[in-house]
Amino acid sequence: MASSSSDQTFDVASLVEDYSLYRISQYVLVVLFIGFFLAPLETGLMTAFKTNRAVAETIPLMPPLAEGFTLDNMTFALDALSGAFFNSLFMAIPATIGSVLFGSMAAYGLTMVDWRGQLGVLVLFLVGIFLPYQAVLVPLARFWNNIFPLASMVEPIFVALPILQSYHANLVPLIITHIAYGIPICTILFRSYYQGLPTSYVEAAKIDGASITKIYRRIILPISKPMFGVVFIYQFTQIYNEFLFAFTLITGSDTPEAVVTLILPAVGASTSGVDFGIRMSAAFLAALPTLIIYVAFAEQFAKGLKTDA
Amino acid sequence: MSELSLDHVTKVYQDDDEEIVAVDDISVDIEDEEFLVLVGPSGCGKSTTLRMIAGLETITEGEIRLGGTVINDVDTQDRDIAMVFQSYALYPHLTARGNMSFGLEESTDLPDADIEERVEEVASMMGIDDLLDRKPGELSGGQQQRIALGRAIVRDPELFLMDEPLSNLDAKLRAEMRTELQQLQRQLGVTTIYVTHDQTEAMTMSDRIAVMDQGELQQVGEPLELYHDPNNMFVAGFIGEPSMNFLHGAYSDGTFVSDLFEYPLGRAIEDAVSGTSELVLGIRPEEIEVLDDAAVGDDPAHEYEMHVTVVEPMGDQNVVHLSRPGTDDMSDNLVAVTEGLRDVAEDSTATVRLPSDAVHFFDGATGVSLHNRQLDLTEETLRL
Amino acid sequence: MTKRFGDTTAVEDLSLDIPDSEFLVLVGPSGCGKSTTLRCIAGLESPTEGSIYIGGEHMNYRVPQNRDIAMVFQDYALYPHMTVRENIRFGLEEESGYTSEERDARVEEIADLLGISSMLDRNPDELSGGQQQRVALGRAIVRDPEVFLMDEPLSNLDAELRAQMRTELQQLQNRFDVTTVYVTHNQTEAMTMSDRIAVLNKGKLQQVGEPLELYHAPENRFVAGFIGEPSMNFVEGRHRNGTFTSEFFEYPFDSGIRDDVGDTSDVVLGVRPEDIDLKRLPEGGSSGLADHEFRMTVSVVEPHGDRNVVHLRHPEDASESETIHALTPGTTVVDAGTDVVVSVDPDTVHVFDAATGEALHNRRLESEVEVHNV
Repeated sequence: MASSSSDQTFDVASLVEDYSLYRISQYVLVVLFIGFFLAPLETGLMTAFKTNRAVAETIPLMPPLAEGFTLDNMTFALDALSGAFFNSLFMAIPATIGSVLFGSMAAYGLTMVDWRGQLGVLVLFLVGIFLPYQAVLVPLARFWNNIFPLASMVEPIFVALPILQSYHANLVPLIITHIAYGIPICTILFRSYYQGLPTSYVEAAKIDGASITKIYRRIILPISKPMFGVVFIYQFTQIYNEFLFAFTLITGSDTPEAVVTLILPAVGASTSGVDFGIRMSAAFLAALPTLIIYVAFAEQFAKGLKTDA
Repeated sequence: MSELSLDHVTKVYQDDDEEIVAVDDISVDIEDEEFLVLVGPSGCGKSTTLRMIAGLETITEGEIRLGGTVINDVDTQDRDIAMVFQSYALYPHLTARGNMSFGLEESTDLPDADIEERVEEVASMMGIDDLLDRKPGELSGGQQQRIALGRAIVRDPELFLMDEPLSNLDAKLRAEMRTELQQLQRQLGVTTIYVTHDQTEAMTMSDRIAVMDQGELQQVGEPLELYHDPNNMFVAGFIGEPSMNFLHGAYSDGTFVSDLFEYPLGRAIEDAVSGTSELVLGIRPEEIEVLDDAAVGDDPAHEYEMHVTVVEPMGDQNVVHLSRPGTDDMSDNLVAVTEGLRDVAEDSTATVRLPSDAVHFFDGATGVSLHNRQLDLTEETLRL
Repeated sequence: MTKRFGDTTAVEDLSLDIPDSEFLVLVGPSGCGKSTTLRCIAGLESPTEGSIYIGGEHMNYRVPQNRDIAMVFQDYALYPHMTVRENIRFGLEEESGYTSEERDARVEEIADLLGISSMLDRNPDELSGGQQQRVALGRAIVRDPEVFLMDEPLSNLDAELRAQMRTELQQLQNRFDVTTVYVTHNQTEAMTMSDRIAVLNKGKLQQVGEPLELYHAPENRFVAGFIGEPSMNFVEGRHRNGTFTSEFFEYPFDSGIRDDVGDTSDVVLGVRPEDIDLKRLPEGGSSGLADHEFRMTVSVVEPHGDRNVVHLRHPEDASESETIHALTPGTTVVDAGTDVVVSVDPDTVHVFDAATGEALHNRRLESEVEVHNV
């Protein structure tokens, strides 16, 4: 063992070496950046809980003080958005599940099963990703309104169902559109995941006598659970936040079936100007579902990213 | 009956207009209950052959018959086979029990209770009862290996296919599993094809070995037949560890002449090699005798002075690397094996004898064996 | 040159001095802490307690790039986007005191030495395993470090290539005379390559010594079982009145062994497979067997060509609880199922304490003079 005296001299020398000016400036820069990115968020959250007077009189970054604090903004925003919340979730959840599930199936078929013409289909999927939304908006609207009026076809069913109203039928074309446009990107995401899996899983299952569909259901689907978490979060956020299709297929923000993204710009705006408190409250409420999804799938998400890397 | 026949089986891959022949015209008959090991260096086509038998690769030409029926066009799912993969390929989301019962659930109509019973039975036979409710991720390599084997056994197939199942285990465990696998196969009596690049596994486990190189079958035979009576230089060099020594030279008037030495040939060898000009002398390391001073001179024609470059002690034996004396050429010329308790010093000079009844001769151009060492393996004197 | 260590979590109180230009192999089963030890030396992990010295200098707080070491990884860790030349050159570029031409010259020189000159402009993925291995070595050698660290560099190669690279590595190390610490789980590599071997188990150093010292005079049962392939046979039993008794065997000890064993009662008998002689069963059956001879049944024969591994069990031992392995010459044919006579020379037995595993008695070796010296 080393003598303690020599140990100490070595310790000090090498420790000092590590505390360089470079290191310190690095940390300072990091702290500055964190502040820079978090400031708007903090401002928004603080404003949401302030009375109009407090908004006007205090610095935006300041937390609301005793009489400047109010929950009225929140309650008002919640009231204005509650219908839209239901619409958004009613639309986003099935659309997400649909696109993720079909995407995973397509990816399985394109990576783990051998068949003729595979490449051609894959190319079609890739093209689907790069197709600009703007180019299809008009044909899409005409398709759902004139050529194939699905909404009015399913309306009688919706009338008969509990909770749902007849106007919810107008969301069905939107759901299907989102599924169709979500499948390509989901397929590509799952494909890269499946390519990383050892092919011996499928081979072993084949030798065990399982059919192609059985292999998907009993082996591949359960194995890709972590990836489902990742793609689900991604896809839900995309669909929930989407504006263009919603705006085109649903007539406007004043209709009862309008989704959150359509209503949000109108909340808190009045002839007397913009009510920032209500604005901010509505924005935070609108962001809540995606946050909840992140928290709920956090574990899967982390696992998925890990296996991906 | 589950005898398997490969009849002129060929596999050609298409790669950018280039044809790559992975397996070239292979014909082997594997008898019922036989343990056949397919061995060769990596890329020799042994795994492709196994995968064709499993139906995971299509067959370009030829026929594969199992129990008399051609199975070329039978789907993998419908062939009555079980396979153990190098990576084990255990389903990570299922418990050991789930892994073992999966095949029975998919390939048979057995009720759940029967399946359960079969799984338990096999598990207790293999001593893995207490692992049944664990997932593969919680098991060690050796335990996963056992589950993978159990999964194959529980199916009670006509044919076992094993693709380097022991290569992910450490040396001690591998030696242990080798014996265990061999005993299991005898006990179950299922025809087995085992693929490996490890000649030790091939020698110790098999009933017969098929040696492949560059897609071609080199020789099929019992382990000791391949060891003592190889068809060509490839088999001679591949089987045996450390490998056989090869010396390139020429035949000249009853003598083999190489850079290293001249080796007078006896009558019998001379007859076998006299027509060929380019010759290769082969001798197994354990047959080279490193002589005591007292023994020098007993057979002076086949004794040579060599320089000891490196000695690798193994404990029970030493591997002695010998080179031509008087040069500082580090490349090995000969490798000999001596007993472990024998002390051979590095960088010294030793006299070695190459007994004439232990040498092999090969055609230098084609590699074909011209003369193999004369050993009658059934001879009573060799018996204990 | 000295390294010292102590008390890391995976490695427990390990102290080791490695003289200059020695080839030391750290060997042990997986999870024994050998890789952790190596990574501590490299500076990739820091020891919890204790100190590491290279060339007398304290290393604990030095970052890896300042330690003047080179490491070869199990997966080679070649940079896939660089050619072989750039890979080898990379280590040199961080080193000051070379001009660009000198660097190029040095790369060429090393490549020549390793016989990879013709591959310098290829990418790593175009090379075979053995060639990649050489490039990884080249990258280490080019820096001319004080210490080479190697983490199972041969484990991804096939058997044939491994044996070849084993010799090559050893010759390279002799030539460069660089202190080398080599980690492996493979006892054959340890035996054949090293100047000295350090055997680790469960984070503890079991024994350090020359290969044959470990083979013939192991300090405990773990070392005895780990070194040697096939491994040593162990039979557990009791020692009473100078006789060893197990469930199926009785083995009388001679005075030499008796003195060493003393009055320890629970002991383990160890014999190396090559020290077990097999003989044909005499006509009279098992009667008339000498003290150190037993009748046993052959259960499995594994032919290796140059030798056979014969698995033996006692005729009444149906559960195969006390099986032993013996080695016979390759030209001796033994059939499974036959009964044979097994004799064990008292000179060759080891005795271990069953409780602690410590060696009480190691085999007697003939004195140096009597060992054939060529």
